Amino acid sequence: MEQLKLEQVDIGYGGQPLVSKIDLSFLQGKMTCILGSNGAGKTTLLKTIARIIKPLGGVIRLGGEDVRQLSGTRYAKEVSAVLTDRVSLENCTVWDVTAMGRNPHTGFFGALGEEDRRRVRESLEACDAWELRDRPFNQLSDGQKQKVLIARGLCQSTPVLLLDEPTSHLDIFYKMEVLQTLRTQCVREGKTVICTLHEPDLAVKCCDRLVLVKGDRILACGDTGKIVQSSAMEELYGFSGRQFDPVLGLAEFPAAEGKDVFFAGSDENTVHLFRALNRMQKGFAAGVLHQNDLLFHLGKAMGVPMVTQKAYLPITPQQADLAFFRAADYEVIVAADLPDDPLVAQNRALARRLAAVGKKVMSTAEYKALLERQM
Amino acid sequence: MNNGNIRRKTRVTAAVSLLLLAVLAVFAIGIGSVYLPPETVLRVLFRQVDPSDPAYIIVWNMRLSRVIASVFGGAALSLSGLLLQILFQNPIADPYILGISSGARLAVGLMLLGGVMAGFHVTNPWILFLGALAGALAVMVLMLLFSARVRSVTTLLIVGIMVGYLCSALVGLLVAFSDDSSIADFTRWTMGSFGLMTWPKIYVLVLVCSVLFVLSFLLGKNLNALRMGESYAVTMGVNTKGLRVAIILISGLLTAVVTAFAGPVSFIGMSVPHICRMLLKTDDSRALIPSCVLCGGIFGVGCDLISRTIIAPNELAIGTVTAYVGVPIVLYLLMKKNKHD
Repeated sequence: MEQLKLEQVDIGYGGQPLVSKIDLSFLQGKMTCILGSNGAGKTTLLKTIARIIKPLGGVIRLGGEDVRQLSGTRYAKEVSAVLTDRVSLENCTVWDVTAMGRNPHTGFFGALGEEDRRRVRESLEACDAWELRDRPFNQLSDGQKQKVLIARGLCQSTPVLLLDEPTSHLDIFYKMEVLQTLRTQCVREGKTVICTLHEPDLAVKCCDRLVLVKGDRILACGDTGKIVQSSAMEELYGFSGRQFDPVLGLAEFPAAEGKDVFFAGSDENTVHLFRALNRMQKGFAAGVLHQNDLLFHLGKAMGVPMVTQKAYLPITPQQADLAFFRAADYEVIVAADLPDDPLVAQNRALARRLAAVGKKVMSTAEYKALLERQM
Repeated sequence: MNNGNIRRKTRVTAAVSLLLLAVLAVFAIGIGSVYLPPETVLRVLFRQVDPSDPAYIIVWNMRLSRVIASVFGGAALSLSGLLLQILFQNPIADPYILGISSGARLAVGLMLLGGVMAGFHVTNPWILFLGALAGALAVMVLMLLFSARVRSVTTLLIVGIMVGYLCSALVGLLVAFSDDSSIADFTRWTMGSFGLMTWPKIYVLVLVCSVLFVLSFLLGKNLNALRMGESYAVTMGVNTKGLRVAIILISGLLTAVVTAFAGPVSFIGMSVPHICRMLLKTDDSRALIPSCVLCGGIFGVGCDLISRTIIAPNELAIGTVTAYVGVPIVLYLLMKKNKHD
């Protein structure tokens, strides 16, 4: 169900449109991530939806209703937000901060009732922050503060929750925890979560839908799986098929030029050697790899030249020949420890052929030991 | 829950402050060139004494008006400071630092020093009051316009200080072209004193302040939402534009009414809200507003008492005393806060 809809909306500051003619819909119970590089207008889009800044044109609809028709308090009961604004609250406990979320629901003097207190507790518990309730907010770590700010957003008891970069400045543990909390809110409570993230890998892993903002337009929007299979992600970050594997949500450093090492086949050591060589900025290639091999995705993200075969098909002599000719240019050949199996028989033969023509061939274990000695 | 704790603490503090204020006021009425013991003061106040009695005349014609003025003046400036601190989210904002008092001073200067009155001597306190009000509000509006454009609060404070300097420079210019008697009038006004009050002025002061105290208290919930910043306040349904205007109007009026009658008085607006925060250990406006009013009253009457007794029969400017009392407190708090960070 469409909960929130943008129709031909222009966003920007001071009359200057940053992104124009946005048509978007956000579905109820889904977690949508707005991705885009710095300065692309993600935050502006989120703030426009939160009514912190006015759209320069177009209509935003909440459940079909033009949001301009809704009063501030009414809108605050429908949409809450967690922003990146630095919040410094002196003399304020975690409980107090969370309770601020009840603002649109309380009476004229803001007195909290039984229901309000229950909501505060539930929100803190949902964010695993109930134990922090009596701690002064200003003395918390960044990660704890973020959890509390999200609890405050939840405490506003709105069907829609907006979050601007909820994982910035957090270590990976808190990143995962925060996103897990948001997922639970979507799945269990049916909340519509709209967030911006800086980590495309996390977005791919935890968001149902993606909105890609680039330049002055929305590059793509829709189901995460579909977007990942299209080339939109590469276009968004200018990865051109390298550095990021959207299928696994893998971001890798690009491989160096150079012809240092050729991997004939892969085994359990190869993944560590890939990373080690990449850290040392050595050039390397591999073949023949099956396309369901982890190394295939890793190599693709790094931009490593590879000869590949479809999953579960035996490697053909033609593919092995191609790998043989490529490998001839490389200084060292590292042969994987492969089982005697028809699927990889050609890779075993490849190592033997390369040794026969006088190439220096080492096993992965030997090469690993060599690298360790060099360290 | 800790919320209940704070409410209890607020009530206890309020009761204690109210008692302290009453006791201090009675003593303040009694102390002076002719000392009246507290029981005499109380008897006079409850009209148990013949109106021809000297004590009656001293209390009703001289001291009571001054004490009421200092209580309400102190309370108004404290509340004004508190509101500005919340609006600017800066602990050192106060009507004096932001140039609001300077605006009032310039306006009064323009009138007393003859600038706008083209030689006519203005002595009517009501015209002075309106002038000071206009001056204070003009600076407030100016700050409001700047605050809409300038994001950084530090810049805004610097702007306020600059406006203050500019006003002082303009006053300096006026002084250069004025005759001695006008300068004497003006200097007396700028010294600040709660001693120049007449009963009609007291009525205006009490009426305006009381209305504004109640209005500020009604803003309590929205002021609390503003503590997280304007963006968050918007997402919690607060009409921030309206709130900004309300805060600026209320604090401007409070400052203006006190400044117009008693001259510019510094440091009450900055220090009293801090003292209240320290005492109550909360930033909840619903608790801070009443306690600021009460503590401001105590501070006002206390400083006024010091100002007129410490070098009696001469009198110190009230601003001098508030600075002596206020500066150490603010410095101490800043040091303590830095140690915390």
